[in-house]
Amino acid sequence: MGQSASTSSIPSSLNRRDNSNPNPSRRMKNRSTDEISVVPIEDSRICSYQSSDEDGEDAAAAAVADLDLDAVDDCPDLISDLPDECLAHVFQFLGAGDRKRCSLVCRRWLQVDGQSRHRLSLDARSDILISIPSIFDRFDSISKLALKCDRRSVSIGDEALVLISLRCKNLARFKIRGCREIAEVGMAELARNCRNLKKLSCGSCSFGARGINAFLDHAAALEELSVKRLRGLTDGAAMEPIGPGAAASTLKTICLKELYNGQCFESLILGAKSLKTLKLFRCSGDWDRVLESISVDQVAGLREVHLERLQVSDCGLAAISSCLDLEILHLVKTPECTNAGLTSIAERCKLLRKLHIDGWKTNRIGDEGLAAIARRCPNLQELVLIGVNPTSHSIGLLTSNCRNLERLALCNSETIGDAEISCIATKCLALRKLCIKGCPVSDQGMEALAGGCPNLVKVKVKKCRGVTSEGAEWLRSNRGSLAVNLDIIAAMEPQEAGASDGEAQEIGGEQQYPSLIKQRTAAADVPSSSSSSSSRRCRSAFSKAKIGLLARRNFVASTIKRWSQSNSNPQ
Amino acid sequence: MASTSNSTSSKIITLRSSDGEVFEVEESVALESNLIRRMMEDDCANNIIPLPNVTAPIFYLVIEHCKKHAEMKDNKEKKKELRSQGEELLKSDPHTYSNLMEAVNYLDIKSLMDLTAQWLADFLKGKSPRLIRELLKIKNDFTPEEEAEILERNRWAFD
Repeated sequence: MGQSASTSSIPSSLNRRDNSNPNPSRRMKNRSTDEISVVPIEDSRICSYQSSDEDGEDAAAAAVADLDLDAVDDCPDLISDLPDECLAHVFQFLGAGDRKRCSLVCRRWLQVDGQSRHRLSLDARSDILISIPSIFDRFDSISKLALKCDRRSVSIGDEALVLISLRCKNLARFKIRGCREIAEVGMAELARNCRNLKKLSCGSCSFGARGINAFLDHAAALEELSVKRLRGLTDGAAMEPIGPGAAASTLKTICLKELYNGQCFESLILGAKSLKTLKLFRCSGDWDRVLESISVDQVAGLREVHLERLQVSDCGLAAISSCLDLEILHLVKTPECTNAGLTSIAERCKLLRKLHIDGWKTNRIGDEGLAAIARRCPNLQELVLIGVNPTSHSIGLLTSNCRNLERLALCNSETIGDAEISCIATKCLALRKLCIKGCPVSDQGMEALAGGCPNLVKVKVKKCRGVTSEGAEWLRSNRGSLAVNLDIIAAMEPQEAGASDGEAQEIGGEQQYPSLIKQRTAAADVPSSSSSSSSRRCRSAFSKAKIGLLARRNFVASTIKRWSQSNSNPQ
Repeated sequence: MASTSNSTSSKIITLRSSDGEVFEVEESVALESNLIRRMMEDDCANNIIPLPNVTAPIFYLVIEHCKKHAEMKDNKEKKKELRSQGEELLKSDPHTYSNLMEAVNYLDIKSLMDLTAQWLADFLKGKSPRLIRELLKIKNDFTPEEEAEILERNRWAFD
């Protein structure tokens, strides 16, 4: 704990001159008010400055003379009066590059920067080893550390990690990327030495289940664990389960991304007794089974669940519905989830506040599921629907039942037209923010908005061909306090529109391949009980299909409505 | 202009700077300072509150900026304007800047602490160590060896 004292306080034994100049404004004394003030006196009622300064003319000369005297001092800089704590505060407003440059200005700045730096990101190549003592001599107050190694270099190993952990005992957050040489010994020592570590995020490392277990066995303060692309997770008989270790009572958030055999985290998820948030992104294999054991083991405190591009079906959703305190659910591109699954959530998770669904245009979640949400989840504050096609039936129910709905986003819905917007405008009294993207709405919808939603502060309209700039302008002028954000795409040529479609990048970073459109329909019919490997294939088919859809949407807006019935290419 | 509209009802606080000037300031403005707030809570409110570390011209600047800051709360334009004033001050009179920030720090006014820090930060952004030294008349007290060593260490940190 030797370092804890130095984290917050900045030693006063530096070479600044706070005592050498007991009256720091001495130089100011002879100057006129006008010279000093950046702003003229405006309101004498507020501040009655009851003095007039003398001899403004000679002030400058006097100041210069003063300055010359000061030049005798060892550090005669113009802002040397600034206490270290102020300088440290200034540095907090600078990025790492600027801080680096500032550290080279003078000794005092180097010292202040070093002692006030809480975040550090290091290039974790193996040859940093010899520099570690001097680096951490200088930065002795680090609480957030990131070690990143690029793919082509040899990363630091356990020796360096142990050395670093000994120098940074107050570390609260630690992030490692691409450090392939680190193994379980290093991870165990890290947890042993950094007793206050609250967050660990590791990506593209190779220490596998053993490394995670070695770490968790000692990580008694850990609250958040994020694991991405961890190598060395095996399946089948060789699978080593990952358990909560010492973090069982503190761990609140688990985030798993792009893992093969991520199912070996099951006992960790079940064993984390304080778990509030579970995020699973793009992890291969069947996740229903893991989620089902959650319902058996009663991970009851779960408040937030994110599922993205995952093989999870209605069984998994039914399992999640046993978390009665669930407030936030994100279902993004989980093609096997249907209305039935969403209904089971609605029936039991009555505290649901935020719901995000990206239906991936599979039409498996729609009116029925949303109507159930509307009936059972009156606390809903935020609803985001992407590629979902609800009709006025469920929209009507949502708007009249969810009286707290403040934020609503409707993207790429073929069924959201002016009538639906009108319904929202008249019934969503609490709505503050509305986003409409790629929906067949027109200026009429904007008109409806102008007259409704009394609490609306922000409207965003993107890629809606029916809305003209006049419509947006009209809305602006009729609702002065409303921030209206509109982009116009109407005048674009179809091909251009496809090529320059920013949303394709926004959603998946993908480009257009219109010819792949037929694959989407094929993929949508993959049975929900598909095996792990077929799910991988299905996933890629889906992402390709998505590309096609995105491109196609721009070609002929009017034919989009029929896409789900026929898969013929309009071009 | 919230500060002016309720000026009739607001209490006036009297403060004395280190060089003996007396200021009458609206309570709402004075309470921006956590130091003054604490002093008032300790029941010095009926007397003149002494500010031994702040001179009159600097205190005047502090008050002005407190008012400006209150006005700009929801006004992006003014925010920008206020933020850009820092460069002017730092170029023309770094001493005053330094004294202003020190006073703000002493008076413990969070909003102005951030504003004045932002000024210097904006001023430093993108400038080389040499240029910073030149503009602020800071002496380079490193030996060439030390400078080389820092450069070498900096190499490991990501921008």
